[in-house]
Amino acid sequence: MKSIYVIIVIALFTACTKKVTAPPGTEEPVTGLVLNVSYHADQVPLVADSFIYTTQAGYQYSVNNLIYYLSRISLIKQDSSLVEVKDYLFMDAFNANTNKVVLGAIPAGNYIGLKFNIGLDPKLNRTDSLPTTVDNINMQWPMMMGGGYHFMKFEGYFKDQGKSYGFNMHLGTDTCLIPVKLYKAITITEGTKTPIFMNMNINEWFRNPAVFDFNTDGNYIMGNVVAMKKFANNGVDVFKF
Amino acid sequence: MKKLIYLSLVILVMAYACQKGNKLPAVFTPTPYQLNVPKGFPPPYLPAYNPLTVEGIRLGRMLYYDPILSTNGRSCSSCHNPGYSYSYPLFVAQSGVKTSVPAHVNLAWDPEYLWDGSAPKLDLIGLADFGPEFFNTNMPLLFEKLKKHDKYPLLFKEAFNIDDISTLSNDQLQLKIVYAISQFMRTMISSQSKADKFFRHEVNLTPEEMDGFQTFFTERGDCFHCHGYPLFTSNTFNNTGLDSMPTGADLGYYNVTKNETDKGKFSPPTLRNIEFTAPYMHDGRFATLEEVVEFYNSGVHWNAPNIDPLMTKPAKIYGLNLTVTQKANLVKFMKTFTDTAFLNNPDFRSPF
Repeated sequence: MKSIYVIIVIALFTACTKKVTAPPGTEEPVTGLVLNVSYHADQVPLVADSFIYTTQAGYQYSVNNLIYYLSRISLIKQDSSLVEVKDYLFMDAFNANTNKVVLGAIPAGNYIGLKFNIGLDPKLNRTDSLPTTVDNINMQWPMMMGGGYHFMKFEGYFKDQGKSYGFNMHLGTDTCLIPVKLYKAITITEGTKTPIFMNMNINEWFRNPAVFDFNTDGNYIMGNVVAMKKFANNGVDVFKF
Repeated sequence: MKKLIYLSLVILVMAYACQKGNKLPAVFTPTPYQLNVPKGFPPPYLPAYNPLTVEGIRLGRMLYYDPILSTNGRSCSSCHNPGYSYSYPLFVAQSGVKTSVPAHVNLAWDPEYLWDGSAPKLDLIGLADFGPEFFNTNMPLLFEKLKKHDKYPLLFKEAFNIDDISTLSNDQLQLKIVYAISQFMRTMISSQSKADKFFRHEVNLTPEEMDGFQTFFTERGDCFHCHGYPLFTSNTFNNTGLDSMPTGADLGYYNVTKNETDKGKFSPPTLRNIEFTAPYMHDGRFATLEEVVEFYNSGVHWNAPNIDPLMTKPAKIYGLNLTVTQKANLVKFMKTFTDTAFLNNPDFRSPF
């Protein structure tokens, strides 16, 4: 008879035990990296709507929107082969959620750097290829202009002879894809998430390798192939570890 | 035999132990409602605190059309008339401020809804309607009418498991009412306009509409940055240069945030059924779509504070320079956003 009490007690304690398991595919990767992205204009942190930055051409400017895609984010192995860790990311300089991203699962090992594109590679840059989130919808590049998505919307104001004007550096189309390679020893250890810190220097967009002048090159470049290409070329070195 | 008795006893104990709070299950369990999201639409905003249920939507639909909520004969549908795409030409507040009443269409994708972002949650916007400006509700009278009503006590029970409405506080009752109405509004989906069918490759546009499409979706008119497909709104706040020195209600989003850089900003409305929602802009200053197009063509105050950078590209500073034909065709294209299937959908019409 004693045994029945034991069984009942055990049954009471075990009957309602909730097994908390994450739905398939949503488990946080154990081994991976945490991509931390910051934004500066040279040494000055990026602050929205502040006329505190100056382009190489001499215009004071402020920024009120900086959204873009990174695609084919890959770690570079010592033999130069690549391990893709994410197909694409939507980034918003003014949204902390997108400035710290956990990526994985990644094979543990030693890597020599990070490779990615600013913008979407041709496989992704097709109308309706991305999930229909509000962010992706708002980044659509009209079919009439070739389809796909904006690679970047970099918007703000600049001052010229005391007057304020808007600028819209909108990049898109496959020819304006910006390949980026950053070299640094990165060790991914089993069971840990390795942090990586990289910074976008927004002043680089306006100076390297070519000085970009709002008045002569354009303050609204979407669809202006020459201006978009010039601006995109300046994007190769905007990121640094 | 003894083992069998033990086993039965254990099962009984386990079943008893698993009952939530050892209470009897509620008589009514609302039926979850699966929103039919059209292809190409983003995920809707469906708050966990107010899940869609068949019974909640049914209650919300009745309340939407029922003047029982007011002491002046008004219901939600008074200012959200199906004939105007669940909008109304113009609301003039007691203060004299004029507001173009936004349409109730695809609100499951428009959590902020109001022009100036003053009510960021759709589920709570309706609370203001109980005040003297709209329903002028007499709460004791409302309790009495609902309690005596031949249908509402059961509808509230089915939707929210409320056994007796009179046990609720004023705030609790108002909250349940606006939750039910919000559930109903989230089901009001438009995705069958000619433009939708065009994007789905089911129909062709006329040559005039096609020309308007080109103006809308290229740099010629550049409407798409704030009114992209399929929502025809970017759910952002923008100053489009309506006023060079906005004041009062024309300050828009600034009146909510008190941030200098938000002066003159408003939420771009969806353009679905736009031909039925005149007059246009937050204050209804433009009577026709032709006037709106002419504003963007030649009337933008490009030196307005905080004017959106999109409005100041060189071509726009000097006007879009659209021809008479291009302007007319742009309006024709915008009329392809009309969704008669939505406007005539009996599920959205009055149940009375």
